[in-house]
Amino acid sequence: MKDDKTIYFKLFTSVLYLSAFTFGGGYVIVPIMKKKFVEDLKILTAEEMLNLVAIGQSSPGAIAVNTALLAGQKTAGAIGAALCVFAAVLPPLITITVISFFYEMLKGNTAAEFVLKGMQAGVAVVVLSAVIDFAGGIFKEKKILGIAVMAAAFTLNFFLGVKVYYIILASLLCGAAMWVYNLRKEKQN
Amino acid sequence: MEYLELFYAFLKIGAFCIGGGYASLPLIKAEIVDAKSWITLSELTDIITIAEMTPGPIALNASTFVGTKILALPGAVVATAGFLTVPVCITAVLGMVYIKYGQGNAAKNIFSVLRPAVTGLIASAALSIIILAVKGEGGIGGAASGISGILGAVNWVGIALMAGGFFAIRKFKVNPMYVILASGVLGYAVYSAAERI
Repeated sequence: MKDDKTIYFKLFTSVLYLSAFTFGGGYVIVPIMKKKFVEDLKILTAEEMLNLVAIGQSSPGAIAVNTALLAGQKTAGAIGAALCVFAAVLPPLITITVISFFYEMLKGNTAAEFVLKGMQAGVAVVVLSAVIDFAGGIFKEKKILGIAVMAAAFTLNFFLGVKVYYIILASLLCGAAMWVYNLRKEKQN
Repeated sequence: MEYLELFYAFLKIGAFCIGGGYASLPLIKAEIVDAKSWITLSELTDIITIAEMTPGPIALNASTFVGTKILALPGAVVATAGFLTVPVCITAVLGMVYIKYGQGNAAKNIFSVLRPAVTGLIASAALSIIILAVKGEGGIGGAASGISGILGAVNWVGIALMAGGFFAIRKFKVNPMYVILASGVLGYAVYSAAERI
């Protein structure tokens, strides 16, 4: 029972902290979550983390909330999931409610602009570092298919502007086809 | 009744918000600006600015902001709850399926394709963010030409911050959160000093 409480507390405070300090769009939370859950708390492996991000990406809504929910569910069941969602939602709810009252003041503020511009560089590096780790894992598996899929997803999204959702859906179908193919091959042998 | 309407509007937005936060913006425009006229288009633009300036997922920030605008704090809670309902249910079901069958053969095959795909997508997002951080005020192809044009096309402060941050994360394993906060503080110091010169 004590262990349960410790993990609930750790999950809640971690996600609260992630959500309170993560600026920028959905993927920025992935490297920070990876640092927390994979490297610090060691409750997930890097591979599992990517699986959860893929699932979070496949359902509607905010990827940060979805991935937090999944991490909670995987490590501490339904209560863990509920705690993580609550922790993910609380900080933006508070900040935005407060800020919407001071918005006019903040709007033309150059100081805020400078801080943001600086943070952009920090965020860029953080996401880049996570990409290096994740891509390194894919290269290490030495499977041509994995490397090809990674390159294709990158090219389609970055250069051709294909929507994330279609790429996920296509990979899902491709994976399912591979499963069926492998099943048949096994039966023949 | 108004609460119910607000909840229902954001329920729809959450249900069809597929593919990350920015996907919610056209939906919010259709539901909240065009259909209900709860906020104006220029207010929606402000929301996007705020959502980018504050931590947290952009879709949640937008829900909270619109909710606050219409019905104060209870509105914020109702809008956020509405937005979350469908995604949370779907994600929880997918999560249960993953926990139950995640070790099975089907899942192993599917995730062996999904993992590299997601990595490629994160790489794509990373490159967009890097370009944003590196691009100077002059912009590539701006009015200035020659050496000053090339220098102006690149944000040297951004590059220096990135190089320092990269070193801190990779070499000294500094917590990414501190790198983001430190680059915010340094960015403020350098940009405001440059303004004065």
